[in-house]
Parts: sequence; structure tokens; C-alpha cells
Amino acid sequence: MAVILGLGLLLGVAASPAHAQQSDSTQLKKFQRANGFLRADQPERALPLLERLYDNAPENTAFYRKLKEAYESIKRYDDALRLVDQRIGSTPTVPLLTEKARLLSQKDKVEAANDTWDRAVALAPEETQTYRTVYNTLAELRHFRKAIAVLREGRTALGRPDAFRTELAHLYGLNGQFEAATQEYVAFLGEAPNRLGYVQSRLQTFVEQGQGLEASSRVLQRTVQENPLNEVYRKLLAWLHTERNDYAAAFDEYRALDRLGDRQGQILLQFARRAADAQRYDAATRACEAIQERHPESGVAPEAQKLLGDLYRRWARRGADSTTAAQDSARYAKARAAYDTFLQENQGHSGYPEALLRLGTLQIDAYRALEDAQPPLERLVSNHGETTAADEGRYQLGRIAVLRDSLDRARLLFSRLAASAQSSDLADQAQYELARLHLYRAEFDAAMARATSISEDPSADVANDAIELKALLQEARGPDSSDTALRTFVRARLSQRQHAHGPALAALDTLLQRHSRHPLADDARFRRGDIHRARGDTAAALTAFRALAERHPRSPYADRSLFRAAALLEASGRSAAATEAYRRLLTEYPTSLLAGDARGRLRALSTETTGGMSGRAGRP
Amino acid sequence: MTLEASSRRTFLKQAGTLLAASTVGTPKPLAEDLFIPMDEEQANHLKAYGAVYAALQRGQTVDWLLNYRGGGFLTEASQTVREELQVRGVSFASISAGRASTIIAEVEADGSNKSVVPLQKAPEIAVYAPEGAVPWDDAVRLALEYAEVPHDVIYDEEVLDGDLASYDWLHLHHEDFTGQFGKFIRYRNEPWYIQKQNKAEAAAKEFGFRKVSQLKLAVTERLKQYVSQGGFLFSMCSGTETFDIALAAHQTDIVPEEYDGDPVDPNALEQLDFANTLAFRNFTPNLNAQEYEHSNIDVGPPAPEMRDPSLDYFTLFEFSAKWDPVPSMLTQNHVATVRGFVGQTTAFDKDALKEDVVVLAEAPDRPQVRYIHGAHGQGTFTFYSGHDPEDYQHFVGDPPTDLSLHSQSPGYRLILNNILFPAAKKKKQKT
Repeated sequence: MAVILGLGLLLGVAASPAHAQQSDSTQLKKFQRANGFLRADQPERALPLLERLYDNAPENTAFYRKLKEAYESIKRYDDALRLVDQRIGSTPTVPLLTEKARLLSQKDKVEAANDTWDRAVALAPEETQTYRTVYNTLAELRHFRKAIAVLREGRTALGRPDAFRTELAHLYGLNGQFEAATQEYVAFLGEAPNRLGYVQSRLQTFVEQGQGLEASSRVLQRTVQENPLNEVYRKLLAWLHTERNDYAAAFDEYRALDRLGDRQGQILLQFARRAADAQRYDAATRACEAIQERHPESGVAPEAQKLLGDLYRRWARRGADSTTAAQDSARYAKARAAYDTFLQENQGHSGYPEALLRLGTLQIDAYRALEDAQPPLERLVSNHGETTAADEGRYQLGRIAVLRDSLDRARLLFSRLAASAQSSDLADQAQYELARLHLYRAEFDAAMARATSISEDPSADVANDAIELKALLQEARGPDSSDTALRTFVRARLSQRQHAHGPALAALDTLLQRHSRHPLADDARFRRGDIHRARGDTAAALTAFRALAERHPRSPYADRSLFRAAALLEASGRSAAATEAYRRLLTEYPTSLLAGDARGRLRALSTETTGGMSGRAGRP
Repeated sequence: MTLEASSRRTFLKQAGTLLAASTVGTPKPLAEDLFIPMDEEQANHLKAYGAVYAALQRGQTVDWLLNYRGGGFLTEASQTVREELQVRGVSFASISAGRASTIIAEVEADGSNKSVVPLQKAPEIAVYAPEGAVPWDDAVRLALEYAEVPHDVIYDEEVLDGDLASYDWLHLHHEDFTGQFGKFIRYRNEPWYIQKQNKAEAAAKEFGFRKVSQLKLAVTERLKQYVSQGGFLFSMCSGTETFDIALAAHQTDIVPEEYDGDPVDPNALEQLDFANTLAFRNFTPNLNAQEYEHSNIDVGPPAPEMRDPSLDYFTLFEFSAKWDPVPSMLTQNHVATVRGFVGQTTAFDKDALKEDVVVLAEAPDRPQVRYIHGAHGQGTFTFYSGHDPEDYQHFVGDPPTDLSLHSQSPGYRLILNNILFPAAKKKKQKT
């Protein structure tokens, strides 16, 4: 409706009162019919109407525009150009010349189009709008280079080197000139520091392309060197570093930002959390350590101290497969030291109970230092008994009792926890521990009853463990009425859990000597291999794993033994023997769950020895 | 194409006869062969193709037993092949030469619809795909990479520079040869779209074309020429439909203004030249820039209320391997029905097919086909509709399909049948 009213006004502009009203009405109807034809994709029916309307009123802008549009829709560019030329007459304007240039471009008359755009600019070079008009048309046609040239020319002509910053930046980005684009955005930020979010969103569109990211980083690095006190540049550079996954470089920037803004470690702590989420523990720990060094009295220092412990603990656990034991050990030591420091200095902190728990657990799992683990856990349970951390502390105290062979105390602790734990998962775990305690005490019926109860809830985390326990109890009892073999076996299991390797091996040897054909024999041999491996006795571990595969080829442990033997051989540099063991696994146990891993190792070993596949490599 | 029996097969036949006729008590086989079943017993069908390809690369002949045990393979036993099969997790059996000759005799027996095709040469493979990441995945590249089949990736520049002559087999997937950037205008502000458009426009300018559609047409004409000179072309998803649309529109402009800056030709539909296409005729391109569909060649996915992966399937035609060896090769599978999957081009309208196009698979009780084959000049083309055989609806930005979870995929097998098909041709391609 608004359009029609607008057209009505437009049609009325040149009309005289009485006769004109009727004429206007007729023209309006014709115009509407033509418009309808165009919308119905029938330009051949619209054209005669529009041409007549235009011939009768060539000064009418609506008729002119619609007729030009109709010509263009059927690619009659010459006719459209004729209209524009008529309108230009002897008084060219920037919009009309720009329009003419656009049509020439559509006709593929590139040189003539460029000349006409230049004429448009020359018509009013002192007007900012001139360049905007020409630029908009060029950008619409995706003639980015020409558009850039026009805007640069505008800057010079207007004597305003800051003109068209965002337009030029956008054009440079589209044209693949990422350094130039970033320079424009940097200059824009210098003038409008509160537009950092806008600039980031614009840069995001091309930093995803590796080339754009590198170019942007180069520009920002130079800019920061030249303007070391400018916070917004550093923020942008820090963001680019994280986009490149260069957290070490990002740390430097955030450290500087923290100092520039006198934020007393707040920015560093935020960065540490982000880096931790990205598993970049090196940068995250450096950030926490920087807070301790520079801002030990800051409000965020306690949080940073505790986070430092968490970071080293997670880093050590994550690196267990990829770094040396010494490195892990050093990280565990740093984690322990960080928790110790935190606990000494921050008794009223909300993270205190959790830190006690982490320190206690670390002492058990990483150091097996039960004497050192117990005090923080007991302090946790007695002083912070209502917290969820305290429940977990009770569980860990139960574990300590098992590891110390205080099974009665363990039973008491797990029983209380099973009845009172706030978390159902923890209560289930306690129930499972109670089942295991029955097992260790050779109370097989009680163990079975408890395992059955736990396994009835398949959603419980420990349901699978309980099912495994049930299977053991169902299959391994006998041959005598006192279940001697199973008793010996569970004694070995308890010793193994307590890291008492000697007694564990002795029990397993006894079992294998006295009951060599018992269903537990394969499990016992597998455990022997594992214990030797844990003691670092590779030769004995290899013998045990190989013996299992030879003596119990149908055992569910056979493929696992072969794989462990192969892995030990590989780790000790005996690639040929490792290859043979992996191949044997594939030949004898082609459906093993470990077959995929074995193939992967074979591929890796083959690549090490031959330098990769022959022939052309597939490009990913 | 003449498919002659290899000398090795002849030897096996003779050996079988000799063994059968022999009265000497020497049960030991003369030699040992490896049989790779491709029926339900095979643990990893997809890797089997890669293992066969690797054997061909080493100069070993492999017999493809069409319509026997899902299209099994037979080759001489060697430690290298055995280890390669083992490492890839491909099921195989060592059999005596006598057993091998019995199998071949059974396959070649008069009246059977089976046949032996000797594969002699590892074809040189190229995949036509843009460099850099795109937010969708190319099923054939996934298949080739999973099967560990070496291949080169080429794109417009290599095609226009004449590099196609180096390859026996060329694959296309989710490509838009009409120059409309996949009709993904809804993503026009996404970085990947901007990058794709910029690169395409830069390439067009570099080769002297004003518009991307003109560049793509030139590429399409080169690809067609490659086929006519003896090349093998396999295409999937929108790479099928847009290929023929571009060829049909070689004298006109069907690209809406939103994509190339100028409107479609007023008589574009009248100017379509279906004599120039490979597989389709009498279709109508979709000239609406906002609509995702390219033309009515594609019948589209089932209606939303009917779009149920458990009900959507298509059936493979069974060909006589003796009389129709090529369609037979292309349809070897361990199942007769394959689960359906949709794509930008989901299924071809049967009425849009040219008369000489062979239908390899079709959706039952519907006038639509999924897998077609045809010849052009000295070469052939195979078109397979849909995007990802193991992801019913693969959306832009979805993670790639993990083929280790689909190592027995019948849908992916159809893709890999195509890489061995050129290996069956004895003479080197002239391009």
C-alpha cells in the first residue's frame, strides 16, 4: 500500500488538476498492470506498457526506473543504457554516471565502465558521498579492486586518510588482502577502542582461513610493538593468538594486559581457566604461577593457587602415556606443593575442603603414601563433614583401610558411606567395595548377594564391575568344597591391589601349581604378567604373557596377552618381534577387540621401517 | 570392452583339469591362492578394495569373480598380499590351486550368470574437489581414504591445464557445475561461503572468464571431453545433476542474479541443448536463487512425514556377468537392497533419463532411480545420487562419517566398485 501511495504522489507531481486526475488514474492502472506482469515473470507483456508510460512522461522517475529494470531483466542492456543516457542529457550526476557504468559492466564493457566510474568521481571529487555511491555499486558487482582504488582515491582527494576505514577493511578482506584489512581495522580500533567486539566479528570471517590468521597476527604484533601501552591492540592480538592455538604467546599478552590495567591477576586467572579448558596446561600453569609471583596478596591469588594444583594434577594424569615418568612425577610434585601451599594459607577459602580431598587422593594414587594421605582426608571429614567433598573423603579413607589390609575398618567406613552418601553414585561405589571386601574375606555367598543387588540397576556406574564379580563367583568356585583355588586367587587380587607384588605373585604361583587346569589359571597367568610389568620386569612379563597365549589359546585373555607382549617388545625397541606378535594376534584372533589397535601399531611400525606407503599418498 | 581371461586363469583351468585327471597320489597343491570373499563373511568390505588395489599396484593380477560370493577376489598367494590383508582386517582364505580352479570352473560354467574379470592395472585416480575445508564431506574421498587407496586431488586449474590425461578414473561429488556455489545462498555470510565464492571468482578471472558459471562450463566441457576420449567418470550427489545442467545450458545463462550479478536469459529454458548432456534430457533447471534444488532431474527426498531411514531403500539390478560385465562390476554387493540416503540430489527422475542410460539401481514402486551408467565416446560415466550412504541426512557442518563403524557398508561398496572397474580394461586410456 505504501508503494502505491508513493507512486500516486509521484504520478501527481507533473499533472494539472482536472484532466490530470483521470490521466493519472489511467497511468497508475497501467503502471500497476506492468508491475504485475514483471512480478509474474512476463517482461514481454510489461515492456509495451512501460515504454508507452515512459514516452508520455520521460521525466517521471518511477516509469524510468521500472522500464530500466524491465530491460535489465531480459538483458536488453543497450535499451537500459539509452534510457540512462537520455536522463543524463547534458547534466550528468554521480548516481546517473554510476548507473551507466554499472550497465556497461553488465555488458562486459569493462574499460568503458571503468572510464564512466572515473567520470562519476571526477564530477564531484570533493564530496564523500561520491565515493560511497561509486563504491556501493562496485562492491555490489564484486569489483573489489576497483572499489578499493576508488575509496583510496577518495581519501587522497578529501585529504582524510581516516575516511572509509571499515569499507576498505571489508573490501581488503574480500579481496584476500588480509594484512591491509587488518591494518584498517587496527587504525579503526585506534579511533574507536570500544569497537573491539565489532572488529573481532569482522576478522572472524577470514581468520578461519589460515592465511588470514597469520597475516592478521603479523600486523597486530607490529602494532603492539609500536604501541606497547595500548590495551585494545593487545586484547586483539591475544585473541588472535588463542585462535591460532598459540597459548604461550597469548599468555604474554594477557600478562601485559593484567599489568597495564592493574588487574592484580584477574585477567591472568581468566586466561588460565580458558587455557585449562583447551588442555593447554603449560600456559595455564604459567599464568597461575605469574599470579603467585606478582600478586601474592591479590584476591584471586588463593583461587589461582588451588587451580595450580588442579592443573598440575590433570596435566600429570593426561601426560601419563605421552611423557616420561620423571615429568609426570615432577608434575605430581608440583600439584602436591600447590595444594600444600593453598591449605597452609587459605583455611577459610570455599575451595579448602576440595583441596584437602585432592591432596589426599594424590597421596594415595600418585605416591601411595597412605600415612600422608590420611591426615588431610580426616581433617576434611571431621571439619567439613557436610560437604560433598567429605563424602568422597570418606570413600578414600575406606580405600586406605583396604590398602592397609584393615578390612574391618574398611567395611565400617564403606557401610556408613553406603547408607549416608549424598550422591547415589558414591553410595553404589561403596556397595561395590563392600562386595569386594566379602570376596577378599572369601565370603562368596555374601559377595554374590551384594553384587547381584548392585547389578540390578544397570544405570549404576559400577553395574558392569558388579556383573564381572558375579561371573567370577559363578565360574571359579570349586573344585573342592572349600573353594581353595578361588580363595588363593582373591588373596592374590587383594595383594595386587595393595601393590604387594611379592605376596601376589606367590599366591598366583601357588594357584597355578596346585590348580593348573582350574578355570582361573588363565586369569592368574595374565595377572602374573601384569604384576611383572608393574615391577618393571619386562622379561618375566613377556614370558608370562607368552605362556598364557600358548597354554590358553581360547582364553579371553589370550589376545590381550599377545597385545601386551607385543607392546612390551615394541617399547623395548624390538620392532621385528613386536610386528610378529601383532600379526599373530591378527591371525589367531581376527575378531579381537584389540585387532584395530594391533593394525594401527603394525601400520606405525611399518611406517617407521619403510618410511610410509609406496605410491602416491592420498591427500586428506 | 573386451574382457579376456588372463593367462593365469587359463593356467588354473589347466591345472584343475590336470589334477582331476591325475591318478598319482600327490594331494599337495601346485600353488596356493588367496580368496577374498565379499559376501556376509567379509569383515571389512571397504578395506578389501584397498587391499586389491595395493596388490594391483605391485603388479599382481587379481581375478574379480562377478556374482560369486558377493563379488569375491582371487589372487596368487604371496606373503606381501597376505600381510596387507591381515593388517587391513580383510577376511581371506588360503586355498589350493585345485580349489581355485574349481571355483573358476564354477564361475565360468555355461549357464551361470557369473564371470571372471581379470584386474591387471591399478588405475590412476583423481578426485575433483576444491582445496581447503568445506563444511560437508565427500563420500568418495572418505571411502578412498578409509580403504587406503592413493589418489590425487585436482580442481579447476588442473582440469583446464590439461592434467586429466594422467588419470584413468575421475570422481566428482558435491560440486556445482552451474556456478551457483551450490545454491547455498543462505550461507552467504559464512566464512567458508565467502572464501569459496572469492576463490571461484579469482579462478574465473585468472582463466579469462567474466563469471564463475563460464569457468565451470569450460571445466564441464573438459570433463566431458575426458570421458569421450576414454576416461571413466564417477559422480555423486549434486555433481551428477549440475554436470548435465551446465552442459545443457552451454548456450544460455540460467544463473540468477544473486549468484552472478546478472539475470537469467529471458529464453533460457528454450535455449537448453539436451543433445549436449550425458545422462539427462527434457529437464527444467530451477531458476529461483532462493530454492536449494537445481532442477527437476532430482525428485528430492521423501516427504518429511515419509522420511524414515528404516523404510527408505533401493534395489540393485542383477546383471548377467557374462553378457553385461560392466553393469555387473558396478553393482557387485553382498546385499540386493541398499539403505537410502538423501542429498542435494537424492534420486533421479526416471523420465529424465536418456534412452541409452543403463539403470543400475532404483527405488521400488517409484519412478525414480539411484544409480545409473552410460557410455559417451570411448569412455563411460556412472552417476550415484545422494550424499553419504551411511548418514541418511548429512547436513552442512555435520561431522564426517566414521567409516570404521561402517566397514561393511553396501552403499559405500558401490562407490568402490567404480575404482576397480577401470582396472579391468586392459589397454591404457587414451586421453
